[in-house]
Amino acid sequence: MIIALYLKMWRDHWRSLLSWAGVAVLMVSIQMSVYPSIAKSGKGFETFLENYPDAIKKIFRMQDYTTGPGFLSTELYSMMIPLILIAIGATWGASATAEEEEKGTADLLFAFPISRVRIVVTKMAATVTVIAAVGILAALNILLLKSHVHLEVDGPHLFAATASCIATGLFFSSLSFLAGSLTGHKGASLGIATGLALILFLIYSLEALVDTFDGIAPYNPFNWALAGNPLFDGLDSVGLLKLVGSSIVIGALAVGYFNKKDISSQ
Amino acid sequence: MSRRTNPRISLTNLTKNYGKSRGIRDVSFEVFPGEVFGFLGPNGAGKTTTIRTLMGLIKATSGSASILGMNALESSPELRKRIGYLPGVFATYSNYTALQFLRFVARMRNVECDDLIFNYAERLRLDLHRHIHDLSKGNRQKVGVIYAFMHKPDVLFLDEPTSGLDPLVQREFERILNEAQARGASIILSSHVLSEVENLADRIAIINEGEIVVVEHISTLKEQAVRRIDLYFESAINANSFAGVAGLTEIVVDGEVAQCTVTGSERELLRAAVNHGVMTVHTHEPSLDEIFLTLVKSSHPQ
Ligand SMILES: Nc1ncnc2c1ncn2[C@@H]1O[C@H](COP(=O)(O)OP(=O)(O)OP(=O)(O)O)[C@@H](O)[C@H]1O
Ligand SMILES: [Mg+2]
Repeated sequence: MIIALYLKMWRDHWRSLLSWAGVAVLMVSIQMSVYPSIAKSGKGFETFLENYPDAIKKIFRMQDYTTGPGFLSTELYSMMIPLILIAIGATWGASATAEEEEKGTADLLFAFPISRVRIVVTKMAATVTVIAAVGILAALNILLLKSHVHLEVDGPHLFAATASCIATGLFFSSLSFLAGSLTGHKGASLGIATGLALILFLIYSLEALVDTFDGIAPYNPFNWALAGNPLFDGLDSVGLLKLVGSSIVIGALAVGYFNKKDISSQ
Repeated sequence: MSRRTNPRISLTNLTKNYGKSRGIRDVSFEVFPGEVFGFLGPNGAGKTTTIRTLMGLIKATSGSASILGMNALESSPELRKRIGYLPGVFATYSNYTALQFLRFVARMRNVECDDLIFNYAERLRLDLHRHIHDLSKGNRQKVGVIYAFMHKPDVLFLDEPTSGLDPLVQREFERILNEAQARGASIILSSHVLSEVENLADRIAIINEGEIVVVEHISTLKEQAVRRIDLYFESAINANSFAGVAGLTEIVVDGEVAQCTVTGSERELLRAAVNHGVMTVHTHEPSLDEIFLTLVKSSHPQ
């Protein structure tokens, strides 16, 4: 890892990072502040939800909605937080090589006396840390507020859910690294990674309704991340392993291809 | 430059195809320690392609290249440590000030060279504290010049380095280049214009449509070059008076003006002109195009 380059990546992204982190904190705080009224309505809310069609309940994973884990799962951990981490990861991944090629700065970056592999791996390391940092920030925010709003959630379970979200972010950021390496275009890289994320998320959400999606489920990273319900059941190590393992494979492909390719210039 | 030493840079049949389209073909030349080597050719000739292949930024299709005894086509970090490279289009991280950028470069190269950065900046009249996105094109190019020279490289690839620099700064750039040369650096200097390199380079290569047309000393080339000379006489003259003058390849007379085309030495023509009472002599320095055309014609006789 090259410290100067690692720090540069943080510096280059600090504005967008600040806004994403701000969005995460704001969303967590708003949701947490709503929780007391949901919990108070307790049984009433549960019976209200009983009347929802099963399909809707499944899509939004509404079981035990008024409990701490159920509430956090529905409102934050089965969509918003994974998507924020994916957005950050894909943006950093798309900027890593594709933006440098597009802007023409790749000619000076890869003229430094540092191997291409080390440069790209350093950028990956920076991306992993930023995804983890924002994921942990959200979890800490919840821990900080939970006693104020009387939300009960098991600490290790919360971190298990955080780990799943971070790994999901990793998966799609490694895809943006790969797409950026293959295409050399930032827009294409960002579009492919986030587009795939949205489509796969949609498929995951509709799985309960559409039988034809069942065949995809075992390969859908959102299943690996969310189907194990880490907020209720703790760490889903198999799902996590699948996410991290495939991220590493995709990342290695990105590095391997980039190492051999012709770098484009302006 | 000494021919007894081994070449620093040596290209043998270096070839790069971009898919179907032509890049460069069978490019071969050598550059010696302490030599400034001009690399000339029109747009799209293959100058940038050659340099970027030597930098390992693009992968050669075939052929070989060695720099400082190392395989340039594998372009190891160890080799790049000793190369300075100024890209043809110098794009930088514009969210930095010039100084921040150059210090980042120093960290990436693992060298300490603040002194040299400030020295060059002062000589080139660059304000190091301005953001790069606020700099004019020429001032940005100065950042590029410092970027290429600041780690005292043994080999320099300068792809059209003076583009955008005003004449005063160009002169200072030439001094910086001469210092590097005096230190023993081997420098490849690409340009479209012969006049830009003729004061700096000993030898040049001319490349056209991806192929080397000639590698030669500048002085030799100029002797061979075709020049246009206009002679203004007191009164109308006759073209026949110049028949048989050595070096004269063409003459067009219009009243008291004669437009002559000369290859090699102008001496015989000038002597004849003086004998016929010439008043004014107007010499058109051979442009790259003219030298280039002659060479292309002579290298591909129909
Ligand atoms: N990335 C690329 N893909 C396909 N063809 C390319 C690519 N880069 C350059 N070429 C082609 O290779 C040839 C040589 O281009 P190159 O940029 O090396 O010329 P040059 O001598 O540097 O020209 P200029 O003086 O305009 O900078 C041109 O025909 C160009 O169209
Ligand atoms: Mg060029």
